[in-house]
Amino acid sequence: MVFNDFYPEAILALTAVFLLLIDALFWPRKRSQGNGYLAFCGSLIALAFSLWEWEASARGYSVGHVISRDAFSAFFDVLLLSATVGVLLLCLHEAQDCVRDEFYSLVLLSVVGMMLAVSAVDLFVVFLAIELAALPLYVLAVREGRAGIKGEAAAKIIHWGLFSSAFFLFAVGLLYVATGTALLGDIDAYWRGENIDILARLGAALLVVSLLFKVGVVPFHYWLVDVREGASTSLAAFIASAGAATSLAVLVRILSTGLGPLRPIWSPVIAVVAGVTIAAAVLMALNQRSLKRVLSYLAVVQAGCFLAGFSSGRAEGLAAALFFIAIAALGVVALFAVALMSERKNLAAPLLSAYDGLGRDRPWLGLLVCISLLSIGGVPPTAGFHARLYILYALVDAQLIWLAVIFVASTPLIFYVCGKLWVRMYFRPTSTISVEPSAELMVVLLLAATAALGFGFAPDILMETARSAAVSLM
Amino acid sequence: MLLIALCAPLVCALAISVLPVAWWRGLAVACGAFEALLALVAFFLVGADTIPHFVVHYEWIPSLGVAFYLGLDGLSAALLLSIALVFMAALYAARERGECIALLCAAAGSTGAVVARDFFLYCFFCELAVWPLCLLAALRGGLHRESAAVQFSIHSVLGGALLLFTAVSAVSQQRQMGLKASLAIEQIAVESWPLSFQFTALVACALAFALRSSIFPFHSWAMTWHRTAGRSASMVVVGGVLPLSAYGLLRYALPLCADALGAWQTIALPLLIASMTAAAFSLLAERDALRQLALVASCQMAWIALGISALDWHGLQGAAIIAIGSGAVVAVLSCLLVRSEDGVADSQQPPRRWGILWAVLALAGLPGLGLFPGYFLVGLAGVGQWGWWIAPLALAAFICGVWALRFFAQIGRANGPYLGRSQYLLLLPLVLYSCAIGLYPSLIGYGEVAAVKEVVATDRENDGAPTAAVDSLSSLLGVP
Repeated sequence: MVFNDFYPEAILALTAVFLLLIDALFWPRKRSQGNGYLAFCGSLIALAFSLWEWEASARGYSVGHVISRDAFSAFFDVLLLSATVGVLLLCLHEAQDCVRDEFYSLVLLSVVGMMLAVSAVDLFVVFLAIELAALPLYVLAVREGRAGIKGEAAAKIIHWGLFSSAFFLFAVGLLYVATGTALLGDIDAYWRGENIDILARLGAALLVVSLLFKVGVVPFHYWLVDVREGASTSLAAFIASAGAATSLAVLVRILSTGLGPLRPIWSPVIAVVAGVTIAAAVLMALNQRSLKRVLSYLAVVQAGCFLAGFSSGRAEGLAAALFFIAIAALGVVALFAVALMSERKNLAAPLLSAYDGLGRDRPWLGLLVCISLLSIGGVPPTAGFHARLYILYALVDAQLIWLAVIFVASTPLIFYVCGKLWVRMYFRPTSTISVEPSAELMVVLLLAATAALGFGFAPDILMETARSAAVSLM
Repeated sequence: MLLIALCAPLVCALAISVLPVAWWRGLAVACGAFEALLALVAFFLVGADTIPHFVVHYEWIPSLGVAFYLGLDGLSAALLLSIALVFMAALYAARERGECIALLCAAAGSTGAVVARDFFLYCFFCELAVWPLCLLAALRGGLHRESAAVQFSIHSVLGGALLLFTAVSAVSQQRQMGLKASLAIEQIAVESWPLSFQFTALVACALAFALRSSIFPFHSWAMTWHRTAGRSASMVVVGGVLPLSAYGLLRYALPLCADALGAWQTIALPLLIASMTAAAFSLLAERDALRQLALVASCQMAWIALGISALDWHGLQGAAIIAIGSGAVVAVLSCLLVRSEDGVADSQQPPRRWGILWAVLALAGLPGLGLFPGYFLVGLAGVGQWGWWIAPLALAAFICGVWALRFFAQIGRANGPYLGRSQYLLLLPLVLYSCAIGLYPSLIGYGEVAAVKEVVATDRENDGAPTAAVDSLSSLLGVP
């Protein structure tokens, strides 16, 4: 294992350590926008390195048999770092009002864990990477939550996070006992053999359950929604974008490369879970009044849509799912930016009513928010439309017509959920709560809108990348 | 030329939103007039030709076989002119900057849907035209505008999702048959689609059409919309969105599932007659003139569906005439009806009653005023296809006639504010255009729909040969 195989992770880790040091030595207990900009620059450099290493990663190589650098991991590295850049900009906006000393270091360390988790092909390394990603989140949830409900959020993320980790570790233990290995490739080969141990079957089942728990699909979604509501908005955006993408990537990698021969068993299960998740989460999102809960439920719906594409069992379906999650992650960050705007100087959780009249009072801001909403709602000319199209095609092509019907039926409901915010922006009289966009938030919204429109007009650029990532795995 | 027609409204919308000019309304109307002029030139250049003109073709999403394929033939040129005239009049009726921007965006979407020659592209542009209309309702709508916008968008999005489902199913089918994925009009027409796929596509397309065209019982959104969304939004929906849905059914759904439609015919007739009769009875019971507008449009759409379901060349021609003509006529009627936004009456302005009389008579099917050849051809095709089973349709037609008389009497007694003289003049091209179609239906080219022709030819070989009376009446009307 050599240093130059981990440039992006190393840059992030060094930035995190550097931030801790200068925080301790030079800028103790001050409003830490300087730290924030350093973290932002570190993430940008890591993103640049990830893009620079893309070609090498796409060719695929292994690091010490436990880390696989391939197009799939490169895709998620870029996605995670892009989401992190956006979230750090949100943090910079939040930091204008509160002390944020170790916040940035913890976020960067969490991203390192996430990047390792999407590359790991050894179950023990996957576990360690997931814990590396999760532990900073536990700390952040305890420290950075909203007054009044952060205790609940912190308790839930720690309790249920550790619960799912315990499940995962137990499953890995069972698989290791049965197969004698924790490497995904070897476990995959084990399933092709004759004598399959009952412990291995049990381990595989527990592994799938624990991963679904981490993804937060229905019926394992309840804790995640509360966590996202109780956490600070930038942290909630981080969990809903980068956190969700990581969980999904780990699930896909383990199922595809570790439990490949069991596809006839787990594929229908994933399809059913996807259908139930899409239908239930969108119905639950309909009557929410808190903006963060609405966005959290939309993130759950997006996880369901991702799983729907993946359950088609083809590279094209996985590519569609990857396209979908990339667009969804950017859209979610942008919409959490909207939630953040009304939160400043307003201690209550942002309600939908905070956006009444926003589109009329601030037309340009309204336009940027509107584009992100349209993208999440899957309306042309945004990339969300193509994301919806690709998933639908994957489902029809795989003859999963019942799932395609659920997907189609959920479309107007998702549009309705997004439309509620949109309607408030343009139809209602101006809210008494002032919305204060900062330059950082405007940059986030502008980038998200540009991506939504850019990939809307040229979807094949992103789709080709997603396709190569999917092919590398399947 | 088509790219200019597509981009001009968007450029104008951008200019209006960015430039701090006081004459934004003049700019918007000038853009509308420019679009109408382009459409008129294209209409005369293309004529009734079935071959696409001004073709633009780029690969867009190769993995799904989607091409940015634009072109204009006789049918689309006629619809383009109708829609451009409706938008010109609607832009003149706009009173706010945001309203003009939304109208121009919707105009770009509608123009794109008409000139698209790829099923995906059609779906894309149709959905693109939806959300500016919601914004339009927000800016100009009345008391229940929020509900109107939500209902409209939900119905449109669900309809759009069903069309997308059909499109991706078609591409998947092509892949399974080992063919190159392409949903260009020509490709759809020559492909021999499996019957099982055709039935699925037919159900999805029929439902999408019913949802988007407000066919009874899916008409509730339209009643709220016309009542509260404002004049320009109402005009654009009846003159732009509804004809576009009918155009999609005629252009893409029909060749995609022509064989399945043959089996559907026995189910279609009672459903459509029931829908039309129920809408007609509701017309009589309804007191609000704007809500009546929605029911009239619903009846027109049912006529179109009936013409298409007859699977007869005359029925298809009739459906095309009604799609184009009724869009223009109902848009004129929508513009002329009094709304709460109109303010105080001005007795110096020309009365609107003559315009309303014309629209009502045209809707009632008076020869020479626009819709008569459409009704006639659909009726003819219906008799040829279903025989006397189509007789209950006469009841719906009779009720609609009674409504027309009562409607005019009701409007004649009303003392509302009048439209401005210039607004009245801008409706004149629409009136003239629909009269021209009514007098000379061959102005419209009906497109080269090979699958339909094949089905019609088979029908004629079996037992559906047109009678001498049909032939002579057709030649009298100048229908090929």
